Amino acid sequence: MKRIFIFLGKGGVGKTTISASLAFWLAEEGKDVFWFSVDPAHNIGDIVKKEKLSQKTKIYKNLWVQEIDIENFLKKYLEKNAKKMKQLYKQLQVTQMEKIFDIMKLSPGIEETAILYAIHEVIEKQEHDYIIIDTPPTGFTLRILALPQVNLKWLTALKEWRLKILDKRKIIADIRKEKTPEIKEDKILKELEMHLKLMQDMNELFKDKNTKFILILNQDKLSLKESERIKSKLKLLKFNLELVLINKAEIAEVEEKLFKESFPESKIVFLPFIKNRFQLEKEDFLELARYWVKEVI
Amino acid sequence: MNFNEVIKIFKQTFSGIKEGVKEKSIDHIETELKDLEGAFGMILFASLMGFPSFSPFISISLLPYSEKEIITMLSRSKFFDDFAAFWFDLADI
Repeated sequence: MKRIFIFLGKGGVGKTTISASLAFWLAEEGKDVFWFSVDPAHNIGDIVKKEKLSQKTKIYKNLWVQEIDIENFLKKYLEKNAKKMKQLYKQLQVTQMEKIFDIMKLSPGIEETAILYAIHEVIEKQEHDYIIIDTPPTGFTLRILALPQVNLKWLTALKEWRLKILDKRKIIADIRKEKTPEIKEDKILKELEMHLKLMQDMNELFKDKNTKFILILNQDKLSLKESERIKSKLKLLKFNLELVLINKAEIAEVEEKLFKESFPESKIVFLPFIKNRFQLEKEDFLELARYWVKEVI
Repeated sequence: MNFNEVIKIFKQTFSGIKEGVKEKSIDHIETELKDLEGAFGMILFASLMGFPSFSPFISISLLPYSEKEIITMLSRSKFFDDFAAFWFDLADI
């Protein structure tokens, strides 16, 4: 069974560093791990000192990494639909559909949905036991996490609406004794059902007990306030916050009470600040992992 | 005029009435259908026209199959001064 770890937190708190610590620890334990990023500003490559990680790459024992190129994912999706339109409507052969679809890439909200679909595709395809997802900063990620539930409502309503349309078309055809295609063969209905299934899958996946949300924050007020907002949003979406990690805890005096008041229902672990390092190495990640990994594995 | 001719005239008259009633009911269902199709298109593609609504990522995948809905949506819009306002009003936006 796949176990999924999703790291959340304000920009710059150390999400990628902590996800690296889990990835290396699991690989060191002999587990089969896939660690990928959907953050448009990736930095897995900076951490593992490798460029061009747009393809799945093995970096250590059974640890595979990938930086998902969302722009390219979106481009391919739009090209596929432009091609479909050209095949169906011959008059569009002369139109430069690609250019029109190129502008559509900039539509508001399209990138978040593309990230959700990319995550779904990766999780469906990959057979690894452990999947670690490095996410974009808070606001962006919260919108992505809310998408399945929002779209489930839209798609359910649209499916019902479509069925009403098909039902009326059938009534008219029956009175006129004309032939109509089967309702279940309707292409729009099929597309809606496909999207509906994907949203249901993602919603179930986010709620699954094998999916663990781990919140990272630092000892500063902004980071704490933003983390409280993440906690509330996760609660609203009914996703389980597994663990709260206070990263670089030794930088300031540890105020355990303050954090415990903010996250009374969650386990909290304080992680040390690894000093005198321009760039962390595998050993540093493993050391960091020893402080917290046992809480979730 | 013999009996058979009378029956024939009756049959023709009733058949005409029956067809009339049938067409009238079809007209009614068709109008309802066109409204449903027009509004369906409007909801699917409102985001592509600049209205905040359904995810354009999903709308794009429905676009290749929605020719009929788009044509209906555009043709219905001719009969209303502000079709969008009507639906926005209905949705209390």
